[in-house]
Amino acid sequence: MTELVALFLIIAFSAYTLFGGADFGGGLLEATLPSPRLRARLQATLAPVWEANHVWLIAVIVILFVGFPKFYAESMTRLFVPVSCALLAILVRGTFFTLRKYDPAPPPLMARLYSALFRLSSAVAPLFFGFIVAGLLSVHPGSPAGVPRGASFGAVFLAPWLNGFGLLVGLFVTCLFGYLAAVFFYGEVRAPDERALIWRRILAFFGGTFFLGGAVLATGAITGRVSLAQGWHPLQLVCQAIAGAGIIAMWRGRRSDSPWVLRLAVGAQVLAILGGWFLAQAPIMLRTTSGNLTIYDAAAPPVTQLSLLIGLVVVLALVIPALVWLYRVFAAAQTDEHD
Amino acid sequence: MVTDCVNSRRSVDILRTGHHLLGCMRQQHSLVPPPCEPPMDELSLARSQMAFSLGFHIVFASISMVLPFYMALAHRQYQKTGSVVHLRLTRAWSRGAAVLFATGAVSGTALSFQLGLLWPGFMKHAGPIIGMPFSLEGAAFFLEAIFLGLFLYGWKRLSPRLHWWTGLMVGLCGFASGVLVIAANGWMNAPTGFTWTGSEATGINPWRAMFNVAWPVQALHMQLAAVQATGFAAAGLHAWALLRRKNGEFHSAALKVILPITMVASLLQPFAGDLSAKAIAHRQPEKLAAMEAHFHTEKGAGLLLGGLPDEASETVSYGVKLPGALSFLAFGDPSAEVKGLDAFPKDERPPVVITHFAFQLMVGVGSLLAGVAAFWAFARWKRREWLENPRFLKLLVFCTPLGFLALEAGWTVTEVGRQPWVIYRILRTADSVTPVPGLAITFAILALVYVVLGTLSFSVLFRLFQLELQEPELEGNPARPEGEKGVQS
Repeated sequence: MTELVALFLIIAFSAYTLFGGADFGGGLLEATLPSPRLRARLQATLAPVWEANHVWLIAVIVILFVGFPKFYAESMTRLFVPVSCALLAILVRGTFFTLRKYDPAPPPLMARLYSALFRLSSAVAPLFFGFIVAGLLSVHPGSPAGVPRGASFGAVFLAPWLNGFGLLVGLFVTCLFGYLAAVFFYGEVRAPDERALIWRRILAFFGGTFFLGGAVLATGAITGRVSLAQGWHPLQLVCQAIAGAGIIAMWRGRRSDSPWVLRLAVGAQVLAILGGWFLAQAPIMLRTTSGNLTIYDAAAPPVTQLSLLIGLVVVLALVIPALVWLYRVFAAAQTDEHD
Repeated sequence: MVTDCVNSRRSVDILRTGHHLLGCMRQQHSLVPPPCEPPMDELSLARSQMAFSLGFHIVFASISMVLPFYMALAHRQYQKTGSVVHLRLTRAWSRGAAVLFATGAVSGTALSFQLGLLWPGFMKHAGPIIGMPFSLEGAAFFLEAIFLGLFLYGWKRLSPRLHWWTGLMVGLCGFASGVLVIAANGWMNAPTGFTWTGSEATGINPWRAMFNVAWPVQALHMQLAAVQATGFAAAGLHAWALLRRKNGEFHSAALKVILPITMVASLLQPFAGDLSAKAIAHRQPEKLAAMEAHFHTEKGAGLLLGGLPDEASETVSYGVKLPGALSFLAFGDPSAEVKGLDAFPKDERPPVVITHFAFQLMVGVGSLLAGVAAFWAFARWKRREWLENPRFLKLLVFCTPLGFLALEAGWTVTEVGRQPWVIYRILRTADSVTPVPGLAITFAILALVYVVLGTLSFSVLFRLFQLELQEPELEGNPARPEGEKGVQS
């Protein structure tokens, strides 16, 4: 049952990475677009419907504190600084996006401030998401039961994530989100010259993701955070195959002129990357110098897990049809506006 | 003086800092080396930060819970009569709902993190017990977001009936998520559904925890308060605009939508409050004692009006007591015994001054608003022309912030009054706070961000409303409700 709860956690986390990632990356992509027309188009695509993405994050948090309370409490304590920074970026980003969208007549300075803060926080949030991931891959001082007494602030709350490896993972996540946004946006533009421009962005972000991904793996392997031996696990190989096939499918998707081939290919790539990370880490949630916290150690009592699962199934049964409906109405409204 | 400082070291109260600082200053005058700790310890900082975030979120959450109902009512009116004024109201309110929903969603996301960041000790124990309402609340919130999107983008795409229904669902889902989140707070006041071994919870029953006895009464009290607070705030703004004689038709139509719901809630609220007080008298006698600054256990206890409690000497100055009234209100018997704070060990007593002041403020404002509501009901029944009178409009303008003032005061009562416990009589707030130092920095940043965000959001809302009124007449035939097709969202 613990595995089932973990599966739901992974699903919610993956959904947030895909949809929220494209959302955050949108802010980043926006900063690289040359024409106001394209920027306006991108902003229309990232309509407030996308704020619905926060619910995936909330789902992750809720599953964590209901299903894996010990991990939630421990990780929130140990990763207090990067989580707070990411949270701050989310706060600023969401609000300035809304303000920019709805402010009917902003003074010019305000309008620039809205955009600048929106773009900046769009880049800062994924950077800190990466720091958090790096923190989860690193070994923390003390034990899963708590931070060591008398240790310095830096050693406990900074050292495990604030390092070169953390920075690499942060840049990797930022680049990955930009890649997701560019791929999503590619299907939203029609003109060939605009498509060519977005395609160049896709390639640039893809190149960055590929290069940084390699650097993360290499640094992780050298510092002992990532075990390369695990790379030969059958499921890992499947993940790597999917990621590789995704790259080929990406090129084909461009030629076939169907945005969905491209989107699905890249979605599969990203899911494969996530899958690789989860496999490398499972079943450990948090590593410390005196022992690891696995999903089984961190899990809530069975009765809680069971009711959480029931709740999640009910929630999904209600939410998924409604979400499909929303995306259809929204897409239709967009087409109307475009014609 | 020294005992004062010792007491306040133990006290976890956020708002006492001022009092504490005063104490330290006085001490310097008397040239005694101050044995006080720094004015704000980490626990107080964590509590301040939480109070600040909740106090901020609650305003946005309340408005975004109630506004969709106004929107749906105006929309219905528009569909029935084709009145352009109601169409404009619907659009203005739906945009307001969108802005506030987004801000509320963001501050709510922040809260779900802060629970873990600031109170890991609490979440570790409470998460598995009280997770059910949180997950269901998440679902209701998710659906609310979806229906809001459907409403905003559905003007051209959905049939009028379905479109109206999506608007109503926004309100219902928001309301449900509010009710569900109260279940968690109810459980903190009336913890149940587990066995406490002294260090951890066993034999957990999440459903029993969710359906704790405190939930229904608290939910009723809070949801009425949200309707009231939003209603008076919105009505005050429209009344102010009416007084300036601009777009009279628009604003009086708005008032006609807002006032009935708000006034009915205000008339019901004293009864809900009475239910709450009776429940507290039974379940959390020390909270009632702190609310009433009732230091000594007695039979036929009096109800305190006003008064300045002094916790050190356990006395109240400048108050008026209504004999037997507290016993009667709490237990329905004017001679019943009401436990005073002296019935509890000193380290289990809630801070009296704040709880008492907040309680008085809430009851005072609540009574005033109930009076306004009674006046409104009478005028509507017998003297309709009174409601058009500028004096009535001025009264509404005066009441603009009062609902939210009472709402915040009420939450102060329930939260400060539960101290020193985070889970009543199970887990102390002090034992659940994060060991991370330097909370002053995060608090300062967060407070700054919230103030900026709040100010900007409301200024945008204000400009949105102005814009809606400046726009030229809408196209389409207003006599045909299906003229919705010509409307841009």
